[in-house]
Amino acid sequence: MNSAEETQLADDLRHIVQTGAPAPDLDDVERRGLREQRRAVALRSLAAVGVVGIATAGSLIAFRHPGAAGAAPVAVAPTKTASGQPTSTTESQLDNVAYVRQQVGAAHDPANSVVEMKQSAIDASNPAQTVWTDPATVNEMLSWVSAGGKVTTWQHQYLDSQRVVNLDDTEVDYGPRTWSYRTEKFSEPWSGPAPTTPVNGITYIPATEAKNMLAQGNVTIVGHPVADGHRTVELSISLGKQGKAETMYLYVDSQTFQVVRLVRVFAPDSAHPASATSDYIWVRRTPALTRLINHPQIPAGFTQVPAAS
Amino acid sequence: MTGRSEEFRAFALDRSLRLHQSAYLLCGDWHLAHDLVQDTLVKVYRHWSRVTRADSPDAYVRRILINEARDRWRRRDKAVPVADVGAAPTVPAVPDAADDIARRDRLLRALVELPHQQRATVVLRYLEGLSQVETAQVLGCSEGTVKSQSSRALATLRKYLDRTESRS
Repeated sequence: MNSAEETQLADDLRHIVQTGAPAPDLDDVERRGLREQRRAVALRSLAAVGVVGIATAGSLIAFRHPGAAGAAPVAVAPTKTASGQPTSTTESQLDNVAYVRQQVGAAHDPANSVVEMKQSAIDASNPAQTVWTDPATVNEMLSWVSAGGKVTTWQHQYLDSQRVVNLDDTEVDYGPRTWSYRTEKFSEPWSGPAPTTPVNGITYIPATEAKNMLAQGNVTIVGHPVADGHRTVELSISLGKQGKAETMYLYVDSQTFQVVRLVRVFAPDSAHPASATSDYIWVRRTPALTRLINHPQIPAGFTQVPAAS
Repeated sequence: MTGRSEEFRAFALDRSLRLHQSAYLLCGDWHLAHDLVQDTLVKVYRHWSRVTRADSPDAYVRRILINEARDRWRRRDKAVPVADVGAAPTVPAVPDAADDIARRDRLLRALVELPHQQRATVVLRYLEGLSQVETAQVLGCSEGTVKSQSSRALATLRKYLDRTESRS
């Protein structure tokens, strides 16, 4: 490497990857590695005796679903629920909708944490974005890339003395180096307990919301893929023709039963992609993270402009 | 824990950060990158004896990672987010960082748009700092191919680089 542009490129690449990476889940790696080795050995054995065909398919199904006839349930490592009580979930239980539904209902959000959601584009007005939510305040910080550059918005929600929902919106646009602020109020006072999720829509899924989602539609277990580094239970929820999404796929961690991923499959519509994926990560609260989400940060030298209507 | 397990774990933990960084530049998304690294390590674990016998275990593992990234890219039909804007918590919103953040966003977007082999070449040459010979070994191609792939990738990324230079 010798040219200035190559040096600049190398420097920028190093900056881009500066964010700390999570540690690999080596228990999962070893478990999967051993399972795949056993599967490969079984397939080779079957091929050797010339019974590849139906038998192979049967073998694969048995490996994929150890709870199937002829295969004993395999216990996975004992885990702890959110309440701290150790449980021992078997593979066959993870194929049982009622059991998974019950575990999701019993799960709690991680204490003292904030949640990061990364969502793929839904339509022209909903580009791919990252949303940080502080469940304690229901305030959010959203970040996305527009044609002009990075945009960050802080959306703060609170009840005033008349219990009317107020929404403050501060937007910083790094392209033209501008910022704007606007606030709006609901016309009627909020009835019942204060909202525990952003009223503008679901941007994170607290445990209670996941339970509600599984209570609607027709729920089936699709499989147990690894998503976002978690071993999960993938659930399909058919919603019929309600709203934009026809089917949702909810991925819950097979040990904590917290939501890891939500995939919404849309009805055929030129305005939408076939599906949108949201990944959720709970991150331990730090003073800096709390401040970042709950306090808009307007860089020095940026110019205030009227908020877009 | 078996000897193989201990050796593998030490190796995996030692290479984890570097693998995540390369995976991120290959796919443009930290979560996908984590999945990629997990899948890569599963293969490394399965073929551990082969990895340890290789002339360069690191080159062997890099090749697995790059092949995994290529396979996923094909499977997802490029439905990969073109930019990861999740760096906000680690990048303070200070004025001096704004230009850099925007430029690197553009770079990442441009990078994930490159054909797979060009992208892999950029990652190996400019992030990993491998020589042309080493890059060719990992990619299983000739040095000449590495040169031409680098050159094409740089030409494509030059729009971004030109903007950089015009601002400085």
